[in-house]
Amino acid sequence: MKSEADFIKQLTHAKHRDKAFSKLLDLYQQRLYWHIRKIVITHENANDVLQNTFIRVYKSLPKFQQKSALHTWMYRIAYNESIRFLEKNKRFLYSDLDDVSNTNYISVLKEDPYFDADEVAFKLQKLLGALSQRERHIFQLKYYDDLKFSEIAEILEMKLGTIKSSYYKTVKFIEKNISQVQLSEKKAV
Amino acid sequence: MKSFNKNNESMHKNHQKDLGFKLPENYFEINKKEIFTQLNNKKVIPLYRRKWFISMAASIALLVSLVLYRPTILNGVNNVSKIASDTIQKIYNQSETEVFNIDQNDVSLASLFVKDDELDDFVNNYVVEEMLKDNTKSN
Repeated sequence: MKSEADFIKQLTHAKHRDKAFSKLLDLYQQRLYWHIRKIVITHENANDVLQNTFIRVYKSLPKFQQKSALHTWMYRIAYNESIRFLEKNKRFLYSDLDDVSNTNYISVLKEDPYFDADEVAFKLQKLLGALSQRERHIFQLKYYDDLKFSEIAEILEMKLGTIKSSYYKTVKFIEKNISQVQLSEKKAV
Repeated sequence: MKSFNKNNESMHKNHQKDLGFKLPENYFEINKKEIFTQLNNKKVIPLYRRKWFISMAASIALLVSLVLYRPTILNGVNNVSKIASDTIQKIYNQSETEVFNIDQNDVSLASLFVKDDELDDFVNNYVVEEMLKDNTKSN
């Protein structure tokens, strides 16, 4: 693979642009889809936001100043598009990002024809639904998207220390409750 | 470029197994085509959907209508029909940027020769008359 700078040159070069953009989609479409899906919850929502994200990426590439890595920049666009979508569709944004009193998360999940969780997955989703949206986003970007804390801080525009403490707090919360769930299941058996 | 520890396949499995998120079959292939279709559609915006085209077309239509139906309104202007035909000719011959300049410099200027109350009269008399005629015909 060529360097990122070379790849960006191709992405902004009229002659090579479409071919390079096709490659970009191959590389990042799935990652960005899962990132978006975890924020906007249903497949239908994620599909809309993903398409908007790539159209925005395509249009914005000539203005990309390479102050951050390409993938971080795209994650940030995807995150902003997701939040914009939630703000427009208030039914899915049940409270502000830091509020933990959200109760819609599970009911929205259940409405999605493309949600089909086994018992353990459903319990994990319930725990994630008990977090504030921001806590959930931080946890998911680290645990499922495999990003560095510094990258998450850049994407969410938050302080590194806040990101780290939120993540470890969430991990403790999930570990504690998941193990309780498993223990109670064993007892029941 | 960053190589992630988790590849697409393992991400897919994690999201399905841990979180219960499913996908339509061949979703990413279909979506890639859809994104390209959308990008191509956005590159070619139909002429009739461009704002400048609509306003210019309206100005020309008004000018031509005035020449044909109320020539006396434009007595103070010489060669109104030539202004209209020249403008149309220029639009066909020139690029979009140049056309935008024509819109501002020529069409708007030509429209200035018609006073507001005369335009109101024209709309009230001619347009209403035509609408009545159309209604009568259709009935």
